[in-house]
Amino acid sequence: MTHIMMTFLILILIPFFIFMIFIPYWTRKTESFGVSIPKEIYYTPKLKMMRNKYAKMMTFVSIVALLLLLFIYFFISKDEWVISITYSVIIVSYLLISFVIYLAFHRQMKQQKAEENWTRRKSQQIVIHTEFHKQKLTVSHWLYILPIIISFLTVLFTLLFYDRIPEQIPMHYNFSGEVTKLATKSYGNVLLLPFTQLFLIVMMLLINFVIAKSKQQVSAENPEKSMKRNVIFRRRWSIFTYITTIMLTLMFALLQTNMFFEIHQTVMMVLPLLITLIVIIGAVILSITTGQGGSRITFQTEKDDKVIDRDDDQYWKLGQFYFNKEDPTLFLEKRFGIGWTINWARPTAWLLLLMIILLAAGIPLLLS
Amino acid sequence: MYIHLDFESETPIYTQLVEQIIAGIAKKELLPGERLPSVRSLAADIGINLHTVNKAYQELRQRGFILIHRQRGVVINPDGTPSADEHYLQQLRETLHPLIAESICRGMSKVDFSKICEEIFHQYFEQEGEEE
Repeated sequence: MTHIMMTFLILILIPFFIFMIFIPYWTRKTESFGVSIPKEIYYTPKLKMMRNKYAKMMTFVSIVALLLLLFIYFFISKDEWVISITYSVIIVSYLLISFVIYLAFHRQMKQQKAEENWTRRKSQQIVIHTEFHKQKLTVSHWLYILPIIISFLTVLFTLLFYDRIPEQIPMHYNFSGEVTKLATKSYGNVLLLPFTQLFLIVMMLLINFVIAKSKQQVSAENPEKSMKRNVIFRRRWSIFTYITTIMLTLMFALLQTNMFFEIHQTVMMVLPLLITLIVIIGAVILSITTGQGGSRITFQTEKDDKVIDRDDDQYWKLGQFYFNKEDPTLFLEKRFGIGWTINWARPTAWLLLLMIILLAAGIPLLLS
Repeated sequence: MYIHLDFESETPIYTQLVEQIIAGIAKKELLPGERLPSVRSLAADIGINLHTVNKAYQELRQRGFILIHRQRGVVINPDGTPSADEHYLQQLRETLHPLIAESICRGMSKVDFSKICEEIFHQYFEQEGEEE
């Protein structure tokens, strides 16, 4: 493990931590720690303080995690395997701890909502627009033909140049770019990379579908502005997803080309990390500028404070898991965080998740 | 058009849906031949049972406001809503009867009652002017 690699690992962690620290600032203004609230309550000193406290606690946890990683690297072991394990353990524990912290704030928020009658004398409504899904919400699904063609070309070239590929092919590298595992060449393991590439493209296309089809969530307080925000939110993430797909497809194509045409070794090591870094930083910037559901895009405000969104807290288990048997929706916006989640009461949504996991696990198993 | 649904109202959701779509047609926010979302899509956006939306659409179809095609989906009746016939007038009288009776009991005159009707009529035509 070199200093450069360590720097990269930390550079990837930092934007991820920033993302986690500021989640309460990125949610819709009608939600706070997984509890639905009238918009004006979001700006009260009490809630501001809660968000502030959450960010401080998460910052503390983030710093501890970074220090722990550095400590192990400098004082315990620079061994690749030790660092990989530490890195994974730190990320998993970080996610668990942040969820526990979230739960504490969620409970506090729920309690406050029960005590203070915010929704009194307000009509709770659901507003939808009949033309919502007819608007242009995402980049065309057809654009994904381009990465799919690149992927097919990768397969084609691999088969054409099959003879040029050495008998022993590297299956695993360490962080210094040394081969740690070799395998005898076969059509299966030679095609592992292109199949992973194709799987990723299909995944991204699925995300594009989710962005287009997910539930219309227009705020009752100000439907017109809210709809505009939501359309911008979906378009930006759809464009981001597409750019990411193109970058990843090209990266995989290059990694594969390396099998039959030698490419500079440093490029092969640095490129994947660099792309990961670009994607993560891009996601953070998009979150800051757009917010969940477009909540951070500001227009001149006009408000009608007699109407608020329907209180659907009963369907949000722990404030984060949507479970509504009546609702045929499969995908909808996350409550705490950025992006989309599923309706856990729909078996179709479960099946879809299961299929993705099986495919992700199955491709390497089948081919190697 | 925007559809506003009040989940705490005593009026059932499907009735609210029917009434708002009719109001949308009256205000010309929904035009003849215009497509409405499918049952599934509308139910998912609102977050209610498919059956509720289906019930509303079936009622609108029976009353001649919409057509439900197998391929083209749900559309606002391209020939426009059927004009008021004897059957409709009869129904209207029956609906108005108890309302007028109660208004009389509460001391309203014919003029008071007509004025409210006029105001409501006015709202529909006024909003049409604003939209365009």
